[in-house]
Amino acid sequence: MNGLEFLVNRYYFKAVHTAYLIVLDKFQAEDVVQTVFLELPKKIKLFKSDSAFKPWFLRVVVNAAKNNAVKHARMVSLPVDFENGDDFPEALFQKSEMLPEDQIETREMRQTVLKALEQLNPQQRAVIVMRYYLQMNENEMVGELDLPKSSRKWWLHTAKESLKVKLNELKPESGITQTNHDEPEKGVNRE
Amino acid sequence: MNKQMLYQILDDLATEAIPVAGNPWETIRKRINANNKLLVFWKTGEHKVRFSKKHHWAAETGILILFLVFVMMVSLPQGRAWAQELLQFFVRGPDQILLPTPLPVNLVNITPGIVQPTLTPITPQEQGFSFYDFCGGLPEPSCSGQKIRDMVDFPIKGIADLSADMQFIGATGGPEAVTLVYQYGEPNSVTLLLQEGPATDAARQAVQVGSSAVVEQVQINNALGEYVKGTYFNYGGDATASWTEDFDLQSLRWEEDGMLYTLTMMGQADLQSVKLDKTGLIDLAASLTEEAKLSTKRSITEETESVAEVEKEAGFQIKEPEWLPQGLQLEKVTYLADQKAICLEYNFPVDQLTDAMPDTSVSILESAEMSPPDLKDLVFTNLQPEQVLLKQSTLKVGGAIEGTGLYAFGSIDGSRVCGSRMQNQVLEVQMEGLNITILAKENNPFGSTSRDWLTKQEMVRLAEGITGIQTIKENQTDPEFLTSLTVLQQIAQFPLKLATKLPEGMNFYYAQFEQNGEQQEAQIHYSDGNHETIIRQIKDSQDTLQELIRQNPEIYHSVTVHSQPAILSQGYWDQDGWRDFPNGGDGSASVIWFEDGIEYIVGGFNTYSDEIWLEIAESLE
Repeated sequence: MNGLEFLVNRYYFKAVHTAYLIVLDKFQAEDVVQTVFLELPKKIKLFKSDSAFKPWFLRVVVNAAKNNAVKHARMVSLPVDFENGDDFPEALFQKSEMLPEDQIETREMRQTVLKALEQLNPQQRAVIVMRYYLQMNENEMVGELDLPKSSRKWWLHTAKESLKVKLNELKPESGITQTNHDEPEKGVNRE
Repeated sequence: MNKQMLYQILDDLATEAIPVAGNPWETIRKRINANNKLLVFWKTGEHKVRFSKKHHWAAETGILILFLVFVMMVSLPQGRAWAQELLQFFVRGPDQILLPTPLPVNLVNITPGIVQPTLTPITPQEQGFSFYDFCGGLPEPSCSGQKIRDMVDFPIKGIADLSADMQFIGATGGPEAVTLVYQYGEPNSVTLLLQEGPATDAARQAVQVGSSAVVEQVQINNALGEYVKGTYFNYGGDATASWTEDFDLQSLRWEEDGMLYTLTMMGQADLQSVKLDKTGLIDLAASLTEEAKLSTKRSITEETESVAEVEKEAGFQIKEPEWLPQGLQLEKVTYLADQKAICLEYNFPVDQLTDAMPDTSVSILESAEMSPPDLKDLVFTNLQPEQVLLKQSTLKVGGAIEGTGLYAFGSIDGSRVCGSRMQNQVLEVQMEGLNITILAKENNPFGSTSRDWLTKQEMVRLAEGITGIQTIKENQTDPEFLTSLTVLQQIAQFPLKLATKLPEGMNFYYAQFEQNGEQQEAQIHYSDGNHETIIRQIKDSQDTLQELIRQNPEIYHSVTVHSQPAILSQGYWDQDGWRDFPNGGDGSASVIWFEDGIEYIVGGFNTYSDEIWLEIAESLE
């Protein structure tokens, strides 16, 4: 087994799922990830050894997926009230007037989230995917996202607010309640 | 809905669209095959697992880093020159530069007894010197001026008049350029490197310095050159190196008569013979001459002393050991008048060593008059008393007075009496009419990929080869170097676990067994030619995880292995404290846990990420 095969076997599905949540198209997602793998020999030179390979690689995938989605220009940005900047997801979950989660069909919730994602622009989806699917912190997120550090908070806020708005708009019968509980980071316990 | 629910929904959405099924590698492989250029790229080895050369530990780290930086400085690609600068020999780059990063490591399943292909050890060219096989590398190359002059077709200049506190160490290099090494004062206090070679377009490539570096134009004889103080500095394992003037590293570059010279001075000392500043460096550069003899300390004795001459000077006969470790050869004999002793230096032929280090491997000091040296006179001079590690014991030696010898290992500098600085174990034996001191290299804590070290049993056997009373049989099992896992299992009185997953290229190398009272320890060493992975299994260990954490709380992280609580440590200590390298890079690594009353330690040189170390640990069966 060579190096690339090892990486493909290890990270392909996580990568392709990540890409899908950004491009929202199965074939494009697969194409994006396969291209990333093929270009890895060149990209690997940018990998800094002071961070783990997996988050770095997934950021590369996120960036490639975002660029792909931008190229296909499927979405439009949404106006967001930045002044009223309660932090997501507290704002999203606490302020939503939705039914209790146990009354909601899981499938409906998925469709609601999917529709909300579809209405975000690729940049916003990339931010949401990194924060809530890849569970990255803010510092980890900015590495490969072509975002100037000075505006990273702004982007995060925009993406969170946009998703909140879209979920609220799409809430019909769905119930999204509760406060969030930060989950512990996965991986080696370095306490 | 909380964060975890949102994660679950996103995961469900993605998995529903693209189920985890099929063989993605097949798809990628087909795309690679469809793109011939990419296929060639991968086959050229860009994806191959690469291992970096071991760095020295602790006290020697500083000087070696500086050497590393020097090599890096002269080998970095030219950066983008600023239009307003008119530098000829240096070029400004960023103050912080990215260092090359290793590629991910392949873990493969292994079956005990089945040898997997080994990786190619780092070649001399990768060390930066084509003449490495003959002349060694920095910081102590071994070729004399005559030897290196015979190897190249351009004239070589050197310092003509060496003062008493100055020494020509040796030369190395390649057909394009050579590097001469000088030292002033105590070892490592000040080192001077002189690189010289024809001024080809490739050689003229400017050396990168930081954007904040002050580059001054200077005159050397009739030539104009440039002087800069500072260096890019990084600790082992760092991802970046930063330009700094904090270190006493000065560089001077100039071109004269078609030759390009780079003179680099490292360190600082109060020397009477030379002023170690910009002016001193320029004066030194201006005084270089092709007439310089460039004789190393070693080459002088080789040229002037024979065994007969040495015996005549000493007034007693040399007693060579009747037994030597396989391959070891007598390289030179020297009479040391101040110690009234004869120094015999032995080495393994270079082609037998993976590391190809042309250092003396074993040396024997013999004296008819003087007692063996006091152990405190053998330790490194630059260490504070609290930094000295010296573990002593008494070993049985046939033919010795009282049947024993004094053995010690630790912070020993063999060159203080006879041999190499790399020798760190000693056996002192007194016999009728002769006192013997045997110095040799000990296996280092990360393991040695070259078998140029001796076991205690081999040290004793060497001594008994001189006393003439052998107590060790020809094929006697040596618990420090067992070449069979079966033998290890026979000796150990508890069941042993073996790794079933190892980094690509790793194979069983040797095993060790040690009994200390009730405690038994079995060690299995795997090697890929560049590094070792070591599995230690200790029965009746006195350790506990809590105590290990209490002793060094900053170095351990909590993990689990085989569902048992475990601790993991990756990195090294330096003057600023513990440096953690969870992605591998430098220092040592260890995963420690207890299972069925046995303490398990998986570790070695910290080449791999924590994930890889944990996978190796989990694979023990």
